[in-house]
Order: sequence, then C-alpha cells, then structure tokens
Amino acid sequence: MIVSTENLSKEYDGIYRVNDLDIQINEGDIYGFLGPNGAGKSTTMKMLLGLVKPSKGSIEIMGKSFNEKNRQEILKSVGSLIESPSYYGHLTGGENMEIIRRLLGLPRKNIEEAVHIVRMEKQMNKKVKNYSLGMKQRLGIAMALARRPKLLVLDEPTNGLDPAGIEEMRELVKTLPTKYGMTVMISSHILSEVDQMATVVGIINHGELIFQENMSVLDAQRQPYIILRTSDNNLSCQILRNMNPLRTGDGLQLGALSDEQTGKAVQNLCANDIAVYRVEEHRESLEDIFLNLTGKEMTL
Amino acid sequence: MLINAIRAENLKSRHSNMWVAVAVLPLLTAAIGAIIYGINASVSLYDGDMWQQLWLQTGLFYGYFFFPILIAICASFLWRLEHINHNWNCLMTTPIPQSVIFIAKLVVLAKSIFTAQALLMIFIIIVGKVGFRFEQPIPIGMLWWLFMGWFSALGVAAVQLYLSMKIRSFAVPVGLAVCLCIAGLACYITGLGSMFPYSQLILGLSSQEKTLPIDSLTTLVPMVVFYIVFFILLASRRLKKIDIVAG
Ligand SMILES: Nc1ncnc2c1ncn2[C@@H]1O[C@H](COP(=O)(O)OP(=O)(O)OP(=O)(O)O)[C@@H](O)[C@H]1O
Ligand SMILES: [Mg+2]
Repeated sequence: MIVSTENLSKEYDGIYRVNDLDIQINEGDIYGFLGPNGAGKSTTMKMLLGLVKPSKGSIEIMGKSFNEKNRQEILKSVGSLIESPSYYGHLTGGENMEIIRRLLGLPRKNIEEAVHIVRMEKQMNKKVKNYSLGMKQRLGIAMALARRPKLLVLDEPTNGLDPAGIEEMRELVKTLPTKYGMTVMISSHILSEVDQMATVVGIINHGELIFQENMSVLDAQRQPYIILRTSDNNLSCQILRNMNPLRTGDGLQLGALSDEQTGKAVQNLCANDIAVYRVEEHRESLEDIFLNLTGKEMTL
Repeated sequence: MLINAIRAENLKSRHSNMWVAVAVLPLLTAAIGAIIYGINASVSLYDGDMWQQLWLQTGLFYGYFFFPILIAICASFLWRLEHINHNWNCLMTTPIPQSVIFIAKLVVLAKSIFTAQALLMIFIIIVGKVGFRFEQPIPIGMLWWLFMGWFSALGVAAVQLYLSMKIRSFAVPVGLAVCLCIAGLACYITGLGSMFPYSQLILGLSSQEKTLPIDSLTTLVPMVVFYIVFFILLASRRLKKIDIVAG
C-alpha cells in the first residue's frame, strides 16, 4: 500500500470540507481522484503532502505514518504538482530545475531525464515568466519527476492545457507506472480524462469519498443497453413485457440483449404491425454513473 | 543539507531586484554624507581625524534608518519570491527541515547586508580620497566597523525575515521596520541599546568611534545571537504548524 488514510478530515470554519476519507492506493495504481469544484480534492492532496494539517485522522505513505519525524523521509520519494505550477519567473527553466536539483541534492542526470520526459529540452534557456501555461505545467511536472518519486501526486495537471496537451499528458501519465515504477494519484473534474487512464477511481463529493473501486468494477457496471423507437411505444412495451422494458421519453429501453434477443424483439413488433424506427445500443458513460452518485453534472 | 539549501537560495536571488537596493542605498547614504560633510567643512576648519568626521556624518541616517530599511527591503524581496507563483507548495514539499529553509534565507540576507556594508565603505573611501582629497591614511578601524556593523544587524535581519515570511505584503514589513527603528532609537538613547535588535544595529555601527566599550560588546554579542536563534526557532515552529497557502 503506497497511500492509506484513515478518517482523514479537514475542518475549515466549523465545516468539514474533507470528511472521514479512507483512501487506499496500491503500488502501480493510477488513482483517478474525481470530484466537482470545491469537493475537497486539493485539500486532500495537500494533506497527503503535509502542506495542510489534518483536523482528524491519519495518513500513511509507503508504510510510514506522516508525521514531523517521517516528513523528510516521505517527501524524498513523493513528487507533486498542486493546483498551479510553482516557478521563479525571473529565472530560466534551466535555473528553476537547477534550484530543485540543489535543494534535493540530485545528480544532473535526473534533471536531464525529467526535462526529456516532458519534452522541454528546447525551452530551458527561456525565462519562465515568458512560458505559456502549458509549458509551465510541463516544467512543474519535470520538477516533480526530478526526484524520481515512487508516488506522484498531480492536482488537475491538465488545467489550462489545449486538447493536444491533454492527450499528451494522458499518454505521459499512462507510461509512468510501467516505465518508471511510479504510482500516480491524479485529480480531475473531467471524467473522460480519467476514464482512459485510471486503474482505480475515487470519487469525492462534499468532502466525502462516495466511491472507490477498480476501474474494472466500474466497467462491469456499465452494461450496454438497447433503446427502441417505434410507431407505438406503449403497445411495444406491452408486447415485450417479458423483457422488462423501461418506457423512456420517446422510446423504450431494454437491458443488455444478445443479437438473437434483439432480432426476436424486432420480429415480434413487426408481426404486430408496429414500425421499428430505431434500434440503438447505448452504454452508460462514467458521467452518467457520476451523475447518479453525486446528483451533479460534471463539467469542464 | 544546509549547504544545498543555501546554494539553491543563491540561485533564486540571482537577477533579483534586491541587488539594486543593495547598491543604491549605500550610494545614497554616501552622497548624503558627502553633502553634509561638505557643508560642515565649509563653515568650520576641522583639523582632527577627517575620516572619522566624514564617517560620523555619513553614518547618522544610515544607522538610524537607511540600513534597517534596506534589510527590511531585502527580506521582503527574499520572501516575495515564495509568496508569488505558488512557490510555497514547491518549497514545503521538498525534504528539507523547516529551520533549514529559514536559515538558508538568513544566510543570503546576511550576504546582501555584508555587500551593502562593504559598498558603503568603498563609497566613503572614494568620497574622502577623491571628493575631499584627505591626506590622512585610510583608518584600518574601518574594517572593524564593517564587521561589527554587519554582525549587529543580523538580529534585525532575523526579525525582518520572520516578518516578511509571515506577512505576504512587500511593503508592510518595511513599514513595520520604520516603526521599530524609532523604538530602536529610543532604546539606544535610554542606554538599553544592546537589548533590542534595532538599537543593537546602531550600537554596532557606532564602532566607528573606536570606543565601542568592551562591556557593551559582551552583552551585545550574546544578545544578537539570542535574537538570531530565537527567530529561527519561531520561524521553524510556524512553518511546522500552519497550513501552507500558496498564492
Ligand atoms: N484555506 C481555506 N480556508 C477556508 N476554506 C477553504 C480553504 N481551502 C479550501 N477551503 C474550502 O474547502 C472546500 C474544498 O476546497 P478544495 O480546494 O479542496 O476543492 P477542490 O476539490 O480542489 O476544487 P476545485 O476542483 O475547484 O479545485 C471548498 O469549499 C473551499 O472553499
Ligand atoms: Mg482543486
């Protein structure tokens, strides 16, 4: 277990903004940490890094409890990028990396490798204040990677990136566990983003962890279903009643049907003089599941 | 660990506007000193120690106000780096003890103070040699002044560095420094000079009179050290306790 929290809570002004979180992250996981704005993602991640002190509960990282005594030892192997990238604008990208190198006493090789991973080699002589947001973000990731962390904590790293940048970030994060043996915790409020890279998903809403499962469990929940639209939807419901149809707005919804079952259903309707306009297969998106769980639309 | 952190701080302060302040304030001080000395010299025919005379005139405003304000400005510059662009997050997630973070900045501040002292000394020599064509040899006691002025300012440096760490604003700690300077002046006049950082500094700088009494030195040095240690502990306690808010 790389990260394990127990009853982790944070109170601000009398309100628990993070409440009793039991987060579990295993080695090699890409943990997608999802939640709408203000859910408590950043606060939770800051607690994992010691930036914010928990009001209640405990944190264990790589088997060590997070306290003043273990803080340095833990931080040695944890890289992070919280909210917005940190940088010294009056210095070049190279000088910013050099500061990290000196602070952590790292060999130059680490810096070169980190800069190479985020493909920023050509930008190292430019002042960071002249970087685009995407470049700052990548520099921030390079800084986090420089110490070759076992755990990488990324708080909305795709914030402010264009679609190509987001895709690139996703590809990068996906390679980290296999290529460098890292465990990644990545937060987002864009579900589709996490959908394609996370191995585990944790969903936080109003400070509470309402869901934490392997992606495979979620996938299993997302059975495809069939939507039929016909010339007489009500009558169709009657005819197909042994398939337990669900009457929806302008059609009817059937469960996961095999090809054969679908064919039978359509034949059956035709035999009763009902015209079948549409037969569509749908799959519940992560958004739908999320909506069911939180009652909130997940938007950009 | 500390060496690494100091080297990182050195790099951070590169190209910083702090160095402009470090150069300009001594220049201003020397210019004002030269003008005052020039006015006085034209009305009275002074024939004692010319260097000491020039030095006294120059040191007046410097010790009371310019020097502590310069220290406050430098301290604000050093923390401003961290207060902007979310650097607190990065700083506090590096595996470095909180005290080391503060000490490393204190070392860089001490370096800039020393630079300012040395520059002022050079400017005074230029004013004396080139401006007023002093025949008397440059007093070796200046080095003692350089060192004592620097050392006795370290208490102020620790206080200002703490204030600028705690207060996000650049100007507020500088404003506080002005108030504390006045308090320091009061302490100095009432003879409690070695007890309060802002008067310790005045006391240290007054070693130009060649008469910094040794009993004053034996209380001054431990008290300066006390303030340095005290504010290092205070700062590191604060960094351990508070929630980091990066901006
Ligand atoms: N320092 C603070 N003082 C008071 N309240 C705070 C503080 N920091 C965060 N909060 C509150 O805690 C809640 C959670 O904030 P947090 O930043 O963790 O949310 P988030 O999930 O990261 O949201 P976003 O997607 O917008 O980044 C919010 O309601 C916020 O207002
Ligand atoms: Mg956030």
